[in-house]
Amino acid sequence: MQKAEHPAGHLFREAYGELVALMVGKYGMSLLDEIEDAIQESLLRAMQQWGYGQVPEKPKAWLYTVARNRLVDVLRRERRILDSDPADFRTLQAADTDPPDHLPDDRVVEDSRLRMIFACCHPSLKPRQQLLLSLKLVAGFSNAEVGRALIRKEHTVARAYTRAKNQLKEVLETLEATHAIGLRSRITIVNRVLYVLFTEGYQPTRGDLLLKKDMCHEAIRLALILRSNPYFANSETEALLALMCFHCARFEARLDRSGRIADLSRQDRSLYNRELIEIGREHLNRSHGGSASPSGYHLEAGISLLHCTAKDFESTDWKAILLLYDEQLKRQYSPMAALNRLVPLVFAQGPAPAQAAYRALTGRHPELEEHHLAHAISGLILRKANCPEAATQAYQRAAALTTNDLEAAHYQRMASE
Amino acid sequence: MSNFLYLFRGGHEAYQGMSQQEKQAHMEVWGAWMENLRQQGKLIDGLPLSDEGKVVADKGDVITDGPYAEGAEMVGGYLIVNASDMEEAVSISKSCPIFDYSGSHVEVREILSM
Repeated sequence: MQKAEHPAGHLFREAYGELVALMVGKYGMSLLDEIEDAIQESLLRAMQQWGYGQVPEKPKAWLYTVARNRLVDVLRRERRILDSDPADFRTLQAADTDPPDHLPDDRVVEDSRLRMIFACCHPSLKPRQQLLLSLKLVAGFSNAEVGRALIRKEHTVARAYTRAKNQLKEVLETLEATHAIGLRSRITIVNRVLYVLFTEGYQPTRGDLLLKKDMCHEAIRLALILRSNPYFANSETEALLALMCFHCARFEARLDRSGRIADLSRQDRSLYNRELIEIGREHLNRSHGGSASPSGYHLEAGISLLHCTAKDFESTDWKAILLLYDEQLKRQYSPMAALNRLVPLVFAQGPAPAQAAYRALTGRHPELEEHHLAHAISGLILRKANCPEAATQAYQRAAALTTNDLEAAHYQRMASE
Repeated sequence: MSNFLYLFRGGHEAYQGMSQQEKQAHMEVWGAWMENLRQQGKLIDGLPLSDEGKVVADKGDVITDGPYAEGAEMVGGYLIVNASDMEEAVSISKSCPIFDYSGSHVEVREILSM
């Protein structure tokens, strides 16, 4: 017997997404459930057989062959296809055109993956459904994993998924042709879903950390697939990639050795991943092409880059960061973004203007008083304004408002300093 | 020393609920366990079995799709392990990754030499 050669990384999960795309492309969206079952079955068989020592030379081709045979078997058994029916015969023939243990060439695989991403991000689906379908069908997450990453119960995820899938089947009979989905409005949605996929994964304080890291990596991987196709390449995706690289570069520094939150002023900057920062920079450089004005992704990437490259907290270019926040707010105002802007404001212009801005903001949006972040930022401003007691109170209020243990511990620590 | 046959059964229900990541991990753990036995010179042979088969009875008058409808009773694979006695064979089987998932069991039988 051969020595077992085990594939590294996420082969099974990746294969799942690729095979779903290939098979839906081939057999149509109406068979989505049967296709999912067939792929699950082939992965199950791989699990039971490869462990004995022989991982096939082309594992994905092996899985594809087993899944296809399984699908045809099931359809035949349920008499959903009949050899005597000419239309069914064509379906079967389509199934048999590929020789066994053979995967269509890379171009076809990539192409169907792209079309599957656009199917999951179809404009007639709700944003939460787009995210869920992308996680399940493109990224290959299980219901339990989605639940763990998004803090939802597994059966809630399962129900939502069934609904989303039925909706998708209603909307699309088959994967759309590339020219139909290369539209700017469709790309905008895909970019947004990738952004949400990434930011959901990036929250350090909620959910399973390892899984969430996978979500971030998956978002980057999908954005890379998107940009690799000249039909879909666009400056926003480049900027999105840049911002994801800059955020990921700081992944390891966000918690300290004892697992406590390390805010920007306490992060060990030697842990920042220089290579990722350089890759992000290249994407940012490429994102300047075209006549379009900078997107929100450009601005957020700019802010993140300034944090990544500052030697230490004190030498951070707060003035530039403040400008980028101002630009972001001009384009799309949100109370939360206005709240976050107070951080560069206090460091760039001092506590007095920040205090005034804080009062104006909470006057306009009293609901912010219920948000822990507002009190944490107020604590920061008050500390800078030399009001230590008021600052402590603000941090304590923040600790009481958050429902997250890590954040609460962090605010308590701030309160006692 | 004697050779022992391990018959692996069951686990199907638990397997259905596994994520792709868990399936891959289980496969890798299984491979590592086998490799460890191999390096100790204890592993003689072993292969997985297809889940399709026939049961032939009454001289072929009765042939059913099999082996069993129930996943719990189906043999998923076998190993032949060299061990000093039944006690050691059983103790080796206890570390088998099949027990990571409930509902599975290993039948250990000594292979008699003729």
